[in-house]
Amino acid sequence: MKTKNRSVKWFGIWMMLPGFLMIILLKIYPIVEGISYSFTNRRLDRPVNSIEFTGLQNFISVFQDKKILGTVGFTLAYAVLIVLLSYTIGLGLAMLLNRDIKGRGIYRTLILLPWVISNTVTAANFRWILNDRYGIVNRSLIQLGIIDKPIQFFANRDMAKVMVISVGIWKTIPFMVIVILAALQSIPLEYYEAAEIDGASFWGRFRYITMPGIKAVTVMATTLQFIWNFNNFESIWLLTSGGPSDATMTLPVKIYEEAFLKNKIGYASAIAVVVMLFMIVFTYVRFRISAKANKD
Amino acid sequence: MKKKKAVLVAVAAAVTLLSACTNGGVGKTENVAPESTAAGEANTGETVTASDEEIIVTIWEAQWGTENYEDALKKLAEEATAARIDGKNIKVEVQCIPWDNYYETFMTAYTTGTNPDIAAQASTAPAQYNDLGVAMDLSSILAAWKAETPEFYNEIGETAIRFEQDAEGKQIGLPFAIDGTGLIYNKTVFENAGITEIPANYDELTEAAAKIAATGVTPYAFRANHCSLSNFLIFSNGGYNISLDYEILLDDEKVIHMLDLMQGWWDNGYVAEGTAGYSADDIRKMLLNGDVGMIISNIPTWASAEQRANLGILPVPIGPDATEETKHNSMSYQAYYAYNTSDHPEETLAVLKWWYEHNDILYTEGGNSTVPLRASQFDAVFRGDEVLQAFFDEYVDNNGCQTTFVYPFEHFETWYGIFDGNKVNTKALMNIFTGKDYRLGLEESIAETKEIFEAYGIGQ
Repeated sequence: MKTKNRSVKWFGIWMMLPGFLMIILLKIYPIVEGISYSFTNRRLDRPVNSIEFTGLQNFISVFQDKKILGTVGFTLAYAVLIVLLSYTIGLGLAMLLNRDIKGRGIYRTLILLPWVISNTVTAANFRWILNDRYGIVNRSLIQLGIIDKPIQFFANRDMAKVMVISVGIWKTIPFMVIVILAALQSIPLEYYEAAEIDGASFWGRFRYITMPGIKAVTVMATTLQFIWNFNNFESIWLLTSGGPSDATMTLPVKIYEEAFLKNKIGYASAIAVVVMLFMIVFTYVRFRISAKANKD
Repeated sequence: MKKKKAVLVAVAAAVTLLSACTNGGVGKTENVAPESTAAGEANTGETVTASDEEIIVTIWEAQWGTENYEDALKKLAEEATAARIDGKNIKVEVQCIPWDNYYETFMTAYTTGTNPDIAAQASTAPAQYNDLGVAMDLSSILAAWKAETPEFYNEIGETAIRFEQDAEGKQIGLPFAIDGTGLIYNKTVFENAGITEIPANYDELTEAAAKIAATGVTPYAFRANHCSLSNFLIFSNGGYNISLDYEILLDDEKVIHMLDLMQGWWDNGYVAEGTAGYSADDIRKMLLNGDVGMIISNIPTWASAEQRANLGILPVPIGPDATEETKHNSMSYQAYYAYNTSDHPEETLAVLKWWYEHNDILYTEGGNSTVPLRASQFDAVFRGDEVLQAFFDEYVDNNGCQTTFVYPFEHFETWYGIFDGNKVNTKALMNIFTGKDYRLGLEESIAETKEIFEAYGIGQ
């Protein structure tokens, strides 16, 4: 019996080994490599044997970088606004789709579309739709007499910020709808029926049944989306490349620019390490607060 | 005990796997130029020379052409293989690298030791790989051409050859195509505005802009987020960005005069409002549709022959501080280079020479959109196209006015790649097009240039 248990255990270990190795190779190793670069003067255009240990110099430079504060500010605004607005809209849509309305299946499928379209296609389409001369939005608004000259969606600094955030919200809403809808469906209908019998208002039912029922999903979805959007590179790169005049520059785009356009791998790694530490702290705090709230 | 062993096995396997995959980390030695080849001579180790043994030489080309480009490349590779170059059984393998992240693709290949033997990229790449100690010395190919005196050799031109040499005169690249921007106009827009004389200086361009604006058409659209616009303005005014003794001239009066001129155009509504966000495709489309009168762009192979018939080429305008003699324009090249990490350096050089001499098909069948550097190849590919010929005559083959974008430097230095790639000199113009003070942009550009100099250990 003991021998059989042992062989089962060994079988389990051997089965786990490939996955374990892949995690080391694809996740742990690049992180360790990135951290090691952050303490060096590694440049892409210098031979590997010219690397020198520079201690905390890259990190000091990160905190002395005058432009990085603006970049951090916009990155935070980008991630927070996308999460907040897409969650709010997603919650509303999920509640609508949770009702027994005609054609619910079609709506549920249609709402997934932004999620399944690739970022490249999304960016190309939005650049085209919002083009000042030929874009359907400007043309329609002018023809309807709402505006008399085109809106500069990507050439105006403030408008470009609004647009990259709007595209992010458009892209994130389906995810929010799907996860919230799944959570809504897990709330027993009896709770609502009992509350109605007790005379609870819509707001009361929402506050005391719906929100607690989707709390766990809310924490998970908003945390994940914050992390994903904070680290999002391709949407902004494809839409504005961080421009005009760095107006839509986010930390991932800056890391890319420092690493691959300025060849400063060491410095870029230092920014990436700072971002990683921030995300670890954020996630830890977020889940601690949530766990405490659940306990209370 | 067995549990411990299992953990040990797992750790050992992980370490083995990691060490096998490791490349380029701190203290790693892969892709470090061997000391004997640090100067870039071909690696002479383990060269297979037996004529019957198959030797594989790999070439990577960027996707310069149409959807047929890959097929044309493969066809050329098959021809090269069939040609039994130098009487050897050399199999040429070619790969077409898409533009998306092509720079990273090449760099990652180098850092992981999977780079090809030969590559075709922008002319700045050879210098970068030379700095890394892995660019092969191609002087022997030039020496062979000098001896063989093929018809095209003199057409390459000294400027292009020197551009692809390092400071010590080592030939690190073979320029095959030329790229540069010129002023292109829409003939219908000019006709409607009653412009009969082609503007030759900025006063005349301003007058033309006023006439075009009066017809309700925007005179200019630019791709502001690219160095070419800034270079065009500064160079046509007889200026340049950095002097030979590394003095930063970004706030030189020749630059200021051009920025003031552009500020005036912008304030008068002569420049399309969306200029800060336009791509190259955007402004080309606007020109072809007659929504703007003039753009600064590269040779209009991006337009169909029918569309090109409605386009005209303006001369390099003479800036307010320049004369016909001091105005100049800014060109760059596309070049072939080879890596000295190749296992078959001799064959690599032979294949590269053959490839350069026989690459017509990449234009004729592959639709390569770069401009052939050699006039005879240009004639063969674009024969009879007046607009393209005019662009070539004015901006490429204009005897004296043609300078590279690193002018007054003769050779490309790696720091200039960072200066150019990061669009350092675009900031003042971008400020104009986003309604900010251009002087702040200039200060930013100068600070960034100093930072680059510091990183490369050069300066004032």
